[in-house]
Amino acid sequence: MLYKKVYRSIWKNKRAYIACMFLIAVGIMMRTAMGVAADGLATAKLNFYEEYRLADVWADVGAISQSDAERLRALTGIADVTARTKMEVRAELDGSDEMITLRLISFDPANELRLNDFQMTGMKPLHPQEIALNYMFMNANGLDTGDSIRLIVHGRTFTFETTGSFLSPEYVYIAPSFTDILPDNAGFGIAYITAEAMGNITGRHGIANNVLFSLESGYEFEDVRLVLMDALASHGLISLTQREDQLSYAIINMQTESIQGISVSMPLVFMVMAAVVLYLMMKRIIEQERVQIGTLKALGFSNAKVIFHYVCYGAIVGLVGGLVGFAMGAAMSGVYLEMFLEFYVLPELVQPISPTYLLFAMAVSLGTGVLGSLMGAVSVTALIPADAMRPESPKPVKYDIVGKIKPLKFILTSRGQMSLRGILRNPMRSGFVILGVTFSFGLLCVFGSMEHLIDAMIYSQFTDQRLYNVRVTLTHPIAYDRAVEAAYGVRYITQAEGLLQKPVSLTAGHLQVGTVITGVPAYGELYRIFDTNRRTNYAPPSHGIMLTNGLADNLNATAGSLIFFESPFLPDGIYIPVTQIIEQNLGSGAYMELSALSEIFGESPIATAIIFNTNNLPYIMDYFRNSQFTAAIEDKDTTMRKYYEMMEPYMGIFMVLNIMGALVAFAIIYNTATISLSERKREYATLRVVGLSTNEVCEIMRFEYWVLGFIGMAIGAPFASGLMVAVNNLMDTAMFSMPSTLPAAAYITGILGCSAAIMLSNFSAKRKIAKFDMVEVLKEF
Amino acid sequence: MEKIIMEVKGLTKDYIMGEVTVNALRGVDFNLYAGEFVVVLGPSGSGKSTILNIIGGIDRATTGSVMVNNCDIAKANEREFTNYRKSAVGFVFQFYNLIPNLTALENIVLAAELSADPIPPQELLEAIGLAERGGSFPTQLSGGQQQRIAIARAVTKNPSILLCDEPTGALDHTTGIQVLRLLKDFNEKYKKTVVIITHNAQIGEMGNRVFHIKDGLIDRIDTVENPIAPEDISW
Repeated sequence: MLYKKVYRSIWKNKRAYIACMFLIAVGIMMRTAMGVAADGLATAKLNFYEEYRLADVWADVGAISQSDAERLRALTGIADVTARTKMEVRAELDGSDEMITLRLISFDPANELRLNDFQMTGMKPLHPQEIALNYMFMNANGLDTGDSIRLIVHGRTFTFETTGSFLSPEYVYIAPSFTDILPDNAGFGIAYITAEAMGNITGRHGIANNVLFSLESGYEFEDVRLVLMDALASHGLISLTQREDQLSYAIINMQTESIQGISVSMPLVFMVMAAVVLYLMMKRIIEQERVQIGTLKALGFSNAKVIFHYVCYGAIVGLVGGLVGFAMGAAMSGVYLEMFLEFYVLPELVQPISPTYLLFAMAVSLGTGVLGSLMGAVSVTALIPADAMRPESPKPVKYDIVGKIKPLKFILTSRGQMSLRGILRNPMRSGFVILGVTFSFGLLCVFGSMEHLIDAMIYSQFTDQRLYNVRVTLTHPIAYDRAVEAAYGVRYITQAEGLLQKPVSLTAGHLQVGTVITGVPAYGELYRIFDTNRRTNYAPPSHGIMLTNGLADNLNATAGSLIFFESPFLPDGIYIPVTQIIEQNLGSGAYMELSALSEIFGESPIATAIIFNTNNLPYIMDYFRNSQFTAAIEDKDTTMRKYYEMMEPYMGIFMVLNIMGALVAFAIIYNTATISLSERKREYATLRVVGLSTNEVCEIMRFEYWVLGFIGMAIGAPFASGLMVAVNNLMDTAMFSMPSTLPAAAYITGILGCSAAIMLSNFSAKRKIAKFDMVEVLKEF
Repeated sequence: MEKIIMEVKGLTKDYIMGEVTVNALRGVDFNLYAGEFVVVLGPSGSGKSTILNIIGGIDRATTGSVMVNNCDIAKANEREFTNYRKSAVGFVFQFYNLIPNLTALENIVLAAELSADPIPPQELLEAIGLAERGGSFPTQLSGGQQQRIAIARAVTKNPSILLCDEPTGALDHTTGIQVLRLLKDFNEKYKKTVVIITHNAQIGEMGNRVFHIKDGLIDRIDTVENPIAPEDISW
């Protein structure tokens, strides 16, 4: 029979319960949506890797013949070998003036069991003039099967016909390099051509420069590393990369882990808050229903039965919240997966909503509901039925702030003094209101600033670090002075400098990471080594190496660590000290002064790229497109625009989170306000009876709420900063880290959001006070 | 009326209110017999409600004993205390204390479900003349109707003792008489002991015995030779 009471009570106070269900639902939604999306991504990638035989090790070499590569199968631990040629070339499309870079990869059509096979839509290229392009590239450039594409290699043009698009396990995520990690689908693509076609281009038939290995079962990269280095040394080994360090693989792994981390921790925060709100609500209900509880106990209901009855409230709230959250999460997971498809190209990216998610959602939400209500309901054990029939004695004033701080007596009206005493008379209740405001403030600040932070992150990358308009990557290194001089010789270039970039392998202890080191001129003005956290520029070190935070984390290195520095262009590795770790939000890498870096390689200053400012961009783009020294050309504004376009789906998600944050904040503040009002109904009704108007009674409540709200917001500011750091720690990857400093706008959002919620709650409370039936309220106890 | 169903000895109850200790009961002794109708009279603050609360198992005595079926309720543990309330006593309160979210019938069923041998709720609803109002919520009923439902709720458990705390205190004369009639009927029809506490001396005339309480003690116990019918009482 008591179940009926539960349903009817919930229905009667539906707004407060819905607010609480909403908290649980949001937490479960996040868990389900992100978890399902991460699982979908993980399952799809694993299936793809297996089906299309993703290699375990990649080796870049100077040159190796197919027959020599075949002999590597005999090495211990090696299961399979595929040798191919890989090179980056410039490409042109009809009707497009886009500067395109294609990574050309050769394959042997006769070998059906090649490693890193690819899934075709259309035909595989079988003839020397045929080419297959990655799906995203074709899509971004509006290409169809049969369209032609021109490749410019060492000044010569080769025309190919497109046979179709492909998906590759090696290029699920496509970006030029670890230093340039965001995809540029229109400007950078992957292409497969036959080994014969590649021979025609390079003039070296039967010679490969990239060897793929799969390992025997039970063998790890470390088991074969030295053997492979030894075997490939004579072929000019440039780099040896294990699967975990391969760009596409590493980025997807990082993304999946990051999402999985957030999918657990963020919902936890919501669940804790929901449990706290439920606890408060239950306390209020127990308080309100003292007489009913006394009656039930007098009738013969045991404590356990009464507690169970009140726990049912929480259980229902939890179960309904869990179900709603699960349904919302299942729907949202599709949105997340759609967002992933903007970045990751996988066949059969499905949404495997397994029953475990439903079970988890139900278990967690039920647990939250039961725990929150149990904490609140357990106090009924102490309630003696006879006492329950009498009104509770008022709480004593333990600390009379007005009496202690004399000026308050003159500053505050009698109603203000009542408010202050009210706050201190019930510190637990006041504490919960403060907690509610603090939490809401934190949520509003963090969710409300995501969009701004991403914006700032991209903006900082392009304005604080890159002070140039255009960057031209050279086909081969050129003496620094000559390169810069040549650049100044081009019309409309107003300022030019060079950069030196080299692939290197850095080792600290047992940790090894392949990366790119950038040599920056000592007094350069166009490329700044900018620490986004400290907002400071640093000069490139001449004696030592500077690491980005992501790279330093991967190497477990700190300033002062000694790093072993290897490169295919160095006969022997050298030890080099880390001078500094700098925080950068996008990309990962290392920095040195350009001349010092050149010297390590035994050369006078050289440049592999030139960066410059121009006042005639179209002319410059056209000029360098036609230069035989240009391997790639990047116009900063276009790249920046592409970054923003690419982040658009994220912005949608952040907007949803922002709205959720605002609703959650309101739910918390509204509920705590409702609870507080309910607890003080009798007190306010008495004041009305004494002769105070509704407005005057509300003034007491308003003053109290604004005092508590102000304290909550003041505590909320450091809480928001801490929450932001925690969220960033979860989202951080070596490639990508959000700025941890909240912008002023975030705090303003928090203040406005909380103030609005307090005002709305006050408004709602005022309406309730105005509707009080004083006789009825005073009869209740 | 010779069988003793409750034996109360040396009952005291102290309330500590801040630094002051209030001695609400200062040593009360009495017996209750099966099937008798007892009226407990006394002014406000005399301790009559405290006696009712303690013998009803909803409050603890400071010292003394309350023997029921060879068990001292005053020293019972929580489980025994609950079982005693569940099976041995029925409570009727001055302000009815119905569960507002349950209908009249549901309020009675709620209590009936606790008993191993309940009096059918529907039968009681008819007996109290509210068969048509079973689906009404307490707020849709008058004070008298609510008190009748409260009596039915107490009776449905088929307890040996019915304890009523100022059952007519919030009612007008006519309705009060109806309620007293119901209690008398329960006493006579089911042969159950009824204890009413009140400050209305006229009600004492309908009891078999009248306990006069004063300053936390039983001042005297009167035996009424010829109790009158509720309808003959006026105040």
